[in-house]
Amino acid sequence: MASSPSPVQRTVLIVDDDRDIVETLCDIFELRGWRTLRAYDGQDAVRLATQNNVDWIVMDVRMPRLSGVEALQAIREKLPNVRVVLMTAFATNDLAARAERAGAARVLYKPFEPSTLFAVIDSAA
Amino acid sequence: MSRAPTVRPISLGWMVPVISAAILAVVVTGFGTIAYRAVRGSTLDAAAERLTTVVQVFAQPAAVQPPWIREGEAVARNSDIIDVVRSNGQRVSDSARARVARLTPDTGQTLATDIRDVTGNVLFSITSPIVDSLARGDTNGNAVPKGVRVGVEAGSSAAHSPVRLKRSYPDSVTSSEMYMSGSHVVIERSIPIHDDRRLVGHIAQVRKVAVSQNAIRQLNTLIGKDAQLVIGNRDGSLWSDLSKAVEHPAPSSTPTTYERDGRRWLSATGPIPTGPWLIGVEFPEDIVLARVYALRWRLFWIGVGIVVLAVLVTERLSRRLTMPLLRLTTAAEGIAAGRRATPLIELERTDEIGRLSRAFATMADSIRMSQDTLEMEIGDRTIELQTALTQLREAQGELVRQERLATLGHLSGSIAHELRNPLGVMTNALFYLENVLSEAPQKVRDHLGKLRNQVRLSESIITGLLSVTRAGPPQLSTVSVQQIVDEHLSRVSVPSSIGVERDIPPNLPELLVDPIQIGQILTNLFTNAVQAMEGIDGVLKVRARAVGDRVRIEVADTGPGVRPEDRERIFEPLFTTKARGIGLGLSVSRSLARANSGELNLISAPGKGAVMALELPTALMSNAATAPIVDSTTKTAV
Repeated sequence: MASSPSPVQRTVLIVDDDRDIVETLCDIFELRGWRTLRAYDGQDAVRLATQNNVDWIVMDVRMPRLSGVEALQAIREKLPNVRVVLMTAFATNDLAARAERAGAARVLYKPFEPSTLFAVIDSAA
Repeated sequence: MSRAPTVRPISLGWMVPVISAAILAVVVTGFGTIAYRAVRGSTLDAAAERLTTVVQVFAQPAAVQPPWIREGEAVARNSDIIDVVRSNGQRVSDSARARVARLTPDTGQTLATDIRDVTGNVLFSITSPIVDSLARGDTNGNAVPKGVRVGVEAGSSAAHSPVRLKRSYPDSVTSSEMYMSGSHVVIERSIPIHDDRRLVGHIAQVRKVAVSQNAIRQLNTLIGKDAQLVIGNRDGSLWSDLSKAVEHPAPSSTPTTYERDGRRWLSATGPIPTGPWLIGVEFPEDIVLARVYALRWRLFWIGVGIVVLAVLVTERLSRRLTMPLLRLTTAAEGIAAGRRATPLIELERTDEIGRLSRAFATMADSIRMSQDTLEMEIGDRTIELQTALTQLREAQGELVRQERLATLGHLSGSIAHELRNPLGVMTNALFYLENVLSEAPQKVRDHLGKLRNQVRLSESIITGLLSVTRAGPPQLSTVSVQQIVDEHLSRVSVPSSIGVERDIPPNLPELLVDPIQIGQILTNLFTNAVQAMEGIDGVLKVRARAVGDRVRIEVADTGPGVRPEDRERIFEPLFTTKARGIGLGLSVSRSLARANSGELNLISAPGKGAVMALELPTALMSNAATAPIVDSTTKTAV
């Protein structure tokens, strides 16, 4: 899919029920040479994550069918090494604590600069 | 309280004197009348008795024979006189004429002296000159010319004979009953003439009825100068007051009263032994009763005096009785009308009135005391109620404010969250475009820059909104005033037109507050101050002082200040004077300050810029005082 394949093409799964969020983030990741996967709810996310070799998951917290935190827990059971960044419009300390317990690398509050997201990814690399 | 209608039948104070006066008036009048009648009766009786005595005195036969009898008998024995009778009046000697004339003196008493035969025929007569004067038209019969004048014979041209009775008299000195001769009341007296012991005729005199001056004087001495003598015939046919004929009631054995000449007379009569007459002594009743009348007036005035005195005395007595009652009544009415200053009266009296007064005073006292207690209680309750009402109003206001704030928190929180996704999309899209269009013309990149700025602004608005409406319970920690002020002052972008002055002593006690919440307040205050001086040169002053065991931070600007009518409203949610802003900053700030046991107030005067004072607790304060006030309404649910 990438027009200019890099030596190691990484894959990111973008999950949000807001399709515009998914589209814009995918475009940005692709611009940076990433392979992108799209999911619009938690169940799809779990399915896609297990079916594909995914390096990073950027996932919304509040979603239909399966919430981001639940999806995270489900994915971490199967793929303990995958790294996850959670996005939310609702900032609470409680959520951050739960997300970190579930294994999220970071919780980002919308709206955030994509550069912040890449800084998180780069620092974890 | 309803008052009895003011019906006043008859006051006791007047009834008693009036009744007693009436009774006394009746009694006094009764006694007075009885006394008057008794005195009057006894006076009249005494007068009558006296008159009777006087009459008896006057009716006593004279001890000495009257001179005219002696003289007449002497004349009757004279031979010249006898010769006149013998000659049947043909021979009248000078001697005889002279003797008869001597019997007819010019005193006005004897009108004529006759020599008559036994059948009463006048043989010779001499008339008194007084009769002449009467004939000449002298109206006053008593005005006899002075000087001795000899009587004239009957039959002479000038002679006018008085009326004779023309009757035969007995062989003794006889007086006739009275009769009228012209205007004179007269009598005839006859003395027999004997010729050789045989009755041949009489010397008869026609005499006016008269009483001697001596007798009148005697009468006046005995009874008084108002006394009058009357003489009448025994059959009552003619009465004379010794100068003229008068009306007189029929003779009576007892004294009588009758009216004559417009006057009442008391009269007693008795027979005169020397003739067929009655003598009457009369006295005016008003003179007799003058003293009685005087007594009557005296009695009247005494009665009036007694009644007046009685009225005064009883009025005083009843006043002494009723005045205290009246005053008690007035006092009772005063108490009933709610007047407090009721005079205490008649307390020193030892009688029933005094007891009543004391009982009344005790009652009035207890009424007053209970009234005072009641009023005090009412006053206390009123104050309590007012305090409670004020607190209630404040609580209600606070509740409304908090309610509104909570509602706004919910609403703005929801809106903010809903806006976060679109803003996220925009941020992503901008990021993408900036990367893709890095070589694009400057104009395009300028527009992208504007978009980015506006997205950042929107984000900051939302962030601010969320932060002010979502305050949890304060997480207390100690923090230095200088540090927290500097930290938040540095976050506010201050234009170069505004100077910043800090006056924070280094030795201030540390605050015991939630640093995030207090920081939010300070940021808000600094932002407001800067905005108040937008476009003008000004100074932002931050000053901190210890006030007791608290710290007071004042944030002052040199802007237009706050209008007086807005002083409290600026703390109400949604109140704003700015062109931009939703008016939550100060209301949220005050809520946060109170949640941290602090207070936020405006202390500036209008026109001199605004000065906000934030008072906060310090670590010096006791634990109890620093216990955070959990303001549940500021805990906005997400």
